[in-house]
Amino acid sequence: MSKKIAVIGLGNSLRRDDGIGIIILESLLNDYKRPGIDYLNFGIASFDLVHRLGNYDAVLLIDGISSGLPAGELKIFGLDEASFVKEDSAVSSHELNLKDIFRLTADLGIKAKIYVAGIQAQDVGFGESLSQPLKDKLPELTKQIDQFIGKICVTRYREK
Amino acid sequence: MTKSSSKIDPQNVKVDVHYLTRVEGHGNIVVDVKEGKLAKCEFQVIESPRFFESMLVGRSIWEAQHLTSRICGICACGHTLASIKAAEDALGVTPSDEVVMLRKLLLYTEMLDSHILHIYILVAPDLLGVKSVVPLIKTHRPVIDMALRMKRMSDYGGEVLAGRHIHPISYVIGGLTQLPSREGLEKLYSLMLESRKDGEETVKIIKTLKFPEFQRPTQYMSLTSDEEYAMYDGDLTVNGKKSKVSDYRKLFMESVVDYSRAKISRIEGKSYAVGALSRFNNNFDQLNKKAKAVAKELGLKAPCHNPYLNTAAQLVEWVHCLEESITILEKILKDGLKEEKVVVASWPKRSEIGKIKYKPNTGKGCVEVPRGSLFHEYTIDDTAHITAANCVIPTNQNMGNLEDDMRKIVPELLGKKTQSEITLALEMLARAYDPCISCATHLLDVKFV
Repeated sequence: MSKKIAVIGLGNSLRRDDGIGIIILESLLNDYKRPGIDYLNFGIASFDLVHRLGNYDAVLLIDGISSGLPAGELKIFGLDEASFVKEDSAVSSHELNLKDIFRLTADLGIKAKIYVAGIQAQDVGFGESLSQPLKDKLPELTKQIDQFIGKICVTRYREK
Repeated sequence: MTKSSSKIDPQNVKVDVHYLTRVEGHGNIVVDVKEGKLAKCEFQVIESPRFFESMLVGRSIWEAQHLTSRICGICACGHTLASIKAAEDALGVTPSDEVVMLRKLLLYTEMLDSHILHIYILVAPDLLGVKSVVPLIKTHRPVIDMALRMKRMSDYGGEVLAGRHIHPISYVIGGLTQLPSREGLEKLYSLMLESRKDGEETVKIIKTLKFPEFQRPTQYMSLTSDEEYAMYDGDLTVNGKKSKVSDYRKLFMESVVDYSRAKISRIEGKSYAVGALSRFNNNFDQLNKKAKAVAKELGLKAPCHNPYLNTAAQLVEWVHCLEESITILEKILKDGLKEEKVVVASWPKRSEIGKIKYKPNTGKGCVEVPRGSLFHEYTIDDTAHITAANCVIPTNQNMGNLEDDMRKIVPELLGKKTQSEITLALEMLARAYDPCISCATHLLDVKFV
């Protein structure tokens, strides 16, 4: 049996670039859907990640980031490669931020390998459309993220 | 938070909690006592204003529930249902009894989900003297495992009933777009039966925890119904006085204050409370037998005037909602669901939207969500596009009441508690209301190392 992989979109699609994770998830589903992978829209729920992550061997979270990069730049990283600088940043769910969620997950002994595909946001004001830089880069971002998903599949298959 | 542990000069006290933790969104607590007088006592909501209402203007009413479900990651089902009810009121659509039953089941499931999150993840750390749930994994692992199991059950409920666990997609005006699968409903039923034991265990745990003592009678508003413990439908009741939901604008007044982005609501010029404790106080008689027994075990009696015990009322409601859900699922699994009664038969095609003529109208909808009464109101034109919208969320309604609680409790604590104890008492008070301040943008703030 192959390893279980999930691709999870996070964000609020009514807050412009904050919804990039959801929009890319939808693009992946429309154009690049791979068999055997769960593509999940988590929207602005995050605590549920805690018990969902345990169902998978590898998880790719797609979300907007604020990291001082040029707008629309993609950074894919493992949790050991980044620090979440603001205690109150990250996904919703009653102020249990992603940092807490990852700590909780690790402390619970959940072994899933977690990657984050972060896209530098430009505008997280109210609205449904992406900012122009993100809109322009959407096809390329989707392609790059799918290629990374392909790598996860290969790695996981080898580890199996 | 102030670190001082010494007793303070009761004549001059300052509390400034900048970003209250373990609540949704950003809020500050600011208290200033000068020369023995309370000069400032504010709960400041510093989130950016909510523009969802203006975002709805110009949109077809047929898509309103999908948009408004994004207002909140916790009460997404509640927003969906309040939105659908307002839309149906405007369009003159009456759902079948089966659809109403499935809506109640969805609402109960969300109540189960949110209440257990609040009890274990947000409040328990205060009562156990730790800063967050994380340290509890080492000290209380079986309890955390149980909380996650309970959460998983209700999470699965949303997935089975509404198509996905967050931001429901299958609940629409008039009914559902698809029937929940029998297999999924059977699994949900079995998970709920298993959860009974976890509920009993939770009651034993909560019973051992000591909630702060504080009393302040206030106005308690909630839906009430002659038929049941009202959550989906009913009249608005404030300390025994009833009003129609359609008259909600006459019942309470919203006003703007200069220190907060949230409006403050008042009934007859006075603050009021909404949420689990208000529902418990107004509707105690209609709780089911098991929930009443839990209330008795926890020593919770209606009317209860201690806002800290909102958490205990949530546990009573958790038991109530679990039992009501089990009853509904038993009925569904025995009788089955008739597709023609549940699944919407007709839906305007995208190409038809704007061409079909409707009667211009205004519709109002209210449901009880975990934090209290939630209102949606839409005015539509003759193409069923929204020309005006109003959403009144529970947290805003509670803000004035929370501040009045703070105004009473601070003088009571002066001279008896340390600065840090006063600060903690105020933080716990705010958290007891389970405020859900923001529609939460949640960009990851990341530094690469």
